Amino acid sequence: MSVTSERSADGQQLTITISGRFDFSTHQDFRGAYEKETQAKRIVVDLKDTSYLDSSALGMLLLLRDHAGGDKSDVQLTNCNNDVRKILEISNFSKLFNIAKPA
Amino acid sequence: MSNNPVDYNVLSTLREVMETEYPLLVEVFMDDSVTRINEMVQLLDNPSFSTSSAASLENLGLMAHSFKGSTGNMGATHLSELCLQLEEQGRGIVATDEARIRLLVSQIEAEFTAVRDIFERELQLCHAGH
Amino acid sequence: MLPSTPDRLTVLIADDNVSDRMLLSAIVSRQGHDVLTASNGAEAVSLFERRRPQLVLMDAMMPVMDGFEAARQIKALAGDALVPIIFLTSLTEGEDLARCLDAGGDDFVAKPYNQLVLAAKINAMNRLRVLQETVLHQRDLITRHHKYLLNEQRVAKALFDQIAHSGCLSSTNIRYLQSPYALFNGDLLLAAWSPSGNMHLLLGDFTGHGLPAAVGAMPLAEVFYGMTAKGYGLRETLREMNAKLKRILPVDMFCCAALLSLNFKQQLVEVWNGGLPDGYLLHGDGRPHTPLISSNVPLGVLSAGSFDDNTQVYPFGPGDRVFLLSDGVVDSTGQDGELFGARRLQNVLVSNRNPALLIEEVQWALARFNGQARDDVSMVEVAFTEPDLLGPPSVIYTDSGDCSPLDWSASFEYRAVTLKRFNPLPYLLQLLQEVHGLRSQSGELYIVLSELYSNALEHGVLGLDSALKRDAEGFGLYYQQRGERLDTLEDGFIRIDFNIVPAGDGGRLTVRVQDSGAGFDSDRVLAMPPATNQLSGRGLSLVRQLSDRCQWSDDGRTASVEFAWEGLA
Repeated sequence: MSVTSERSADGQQLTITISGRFDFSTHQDFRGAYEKETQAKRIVVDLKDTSYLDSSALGMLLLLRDHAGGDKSDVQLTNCNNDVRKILEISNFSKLFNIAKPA
Repeated sequence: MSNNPVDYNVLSTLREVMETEYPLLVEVFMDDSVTRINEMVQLLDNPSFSTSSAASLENLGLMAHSFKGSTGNMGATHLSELCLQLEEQGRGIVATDEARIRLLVSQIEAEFTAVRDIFERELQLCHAGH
Repeated sequence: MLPSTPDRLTVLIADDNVSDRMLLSAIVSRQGHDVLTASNGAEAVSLFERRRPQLVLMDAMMPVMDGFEAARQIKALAGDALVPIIFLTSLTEGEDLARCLDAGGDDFVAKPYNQLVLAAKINAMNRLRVLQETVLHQRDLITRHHKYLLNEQRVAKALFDQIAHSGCLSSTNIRYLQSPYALFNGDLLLAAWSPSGNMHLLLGDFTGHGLPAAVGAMPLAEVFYGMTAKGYGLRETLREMNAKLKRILPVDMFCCAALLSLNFKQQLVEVWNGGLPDGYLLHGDGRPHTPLISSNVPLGVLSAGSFDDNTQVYPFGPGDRVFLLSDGVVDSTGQDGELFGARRLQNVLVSNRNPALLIEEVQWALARFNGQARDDVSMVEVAFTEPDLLGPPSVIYTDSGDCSPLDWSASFEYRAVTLKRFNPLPYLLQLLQEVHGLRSQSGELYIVLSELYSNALEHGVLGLDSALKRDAEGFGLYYQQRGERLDTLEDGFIRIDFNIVPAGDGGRLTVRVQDSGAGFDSDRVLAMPPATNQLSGRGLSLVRQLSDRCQWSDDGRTASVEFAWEGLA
């Protein structure tokens, strides 16, 4: 499981990429990826290599959203596979995050 | 009789390890050896000794084994080798041969005499302050 | 110069040969250790028992008791701790050397003794000894902590059970499966009666494990039981529970939940599902089951302004059951990592013949699928039952009864904006319960008030036609219209008057409910036969049944009912 992050050229967007299982062991790294970020207006979480999301992962996404401004935040979840999509669907997280349509 | 009954390298290591207790070690070893050899001789002299008696052979084997150990530690290499051969007889590792057994015991007695001479000289040297 | 060892050990030397013993003692002492000596196996064992050395150098062949037996006994005495035994041997045969290790020896050293080799082996064995010591120490620490944790959980559970005891999970129409560890997996199951005879049920799944998950359950249960007992509906209760959890839980904790309000008298069930897998409405007439889909964000995530308390309403009559489950069921993984999934569950639902066995059949299917029972599998099944067969428990009061108001009247007018979001009934019922004589009829009072209020709101102010509620499709349409019209309501009112007067030793309550609607022909509705298959019209007969006197004004816009009571003993 690994977390990498990248800022866009104009500093407006922070992309965090998760690969492997997104679960409790990711906690520290995920937080570290966005904690010091102050400039980006939008955050994109790329889940293309993510095999699995558990409820603590959902919690971590909520922490990210809170950090990014809560109701005023702009957080996108992209490249979700079917399993991940299904989990997000049951919790209706599309009401909180912008979930990109499948390509 | 061998050319060199006691290995002097071993002796010098013993002197180094034992320090002031070296003479005591030598004395203890010699007294213990005399006792052991007497035991072996008495066992053979006993009328009930027979190579068909498993108990007496085992006994002899154990005695030889033990003496092999202490003589080896003291650097009396040839003596230790003789004990090994006697042990093999006693434990049946080689074919038991009563004549061979008796020969080995007398060879052990003889070799020990040479070894004892060397150790007595060692003691004299120690008491003289070397 | 020999390398010095970091630890000063007590080393037991067992050798039957006096000069060997001396030599070995000297070698080991020079390495910085303390030495104990024994000349045979029995002495070695006895010395070990008394002085408990950390390491043993054991001659194999010794009289009285040989090294092998002594080694066995010493290892037994040492128990869990590692006391390394290094055999001293001039045995050379492989079989003999193997025998040393089989007897419990950890290594062997050949005669004649090489002090460097001996020193190295003692150090190596000591490292292992220290490692074992560390492992045992940590094991003991963990065991102690574990005991504390278990105790804390016991206390938490006892606290929780105090809160949970007021529920009605033991009701005969409820079947459920919950692991004894459910609370500490965050799984929660609550059921309670409302004063009007509805049953509220909650199945919840908090994120996390252990105490953090369990602790969230307590405030939630308090809200659920408190509001249900006061007569609040599902939606108000949901709003309050969400607000409470949002306030007290950390941002990354939330509670997936499904809530039901079962109305046995009106034969309908109201459902809200936020984050649990699909529940199912199982029909008694052979129709395929209706999935109860999660269409909401779990509790404790959204602020009050964004929280969606909208519920789905379905007909729910004889033979029907509602089945809810936690994600432990569908997320169970099989041998190859595949999920049990909703499809397999639905197969069990479809092939079930004996309703009493449904939960067992799901369990069997799970066991066949993965063989390993998870302890976070929770399931509950509620069946329809005739209202007379069940009953809410009697309400317990704590005041003394001396200050009961006996001669008063009060009027309330609720206008459009208030009607949209506010349910006045719990407050009004609380008010009436100040009158002690009315308390024994509080169930009937609540039912009648609810009936009159909902008629006034739905038929009067909103102008809905209850004839729509003839079938399942019409049902859906009716509630959709209700929602739409309520959202866009701009004018209208409902007036409620209470008048309490003494009568003999007791007293009499007169309730008037008036709405701003078009009115209706009450005589015609009351004259209709109480058809059991009709979903509308039953309300008025119920009102007539439960109150002492009731009548409607000529235009049908005002209903008036009476409740009387005798003097209290």
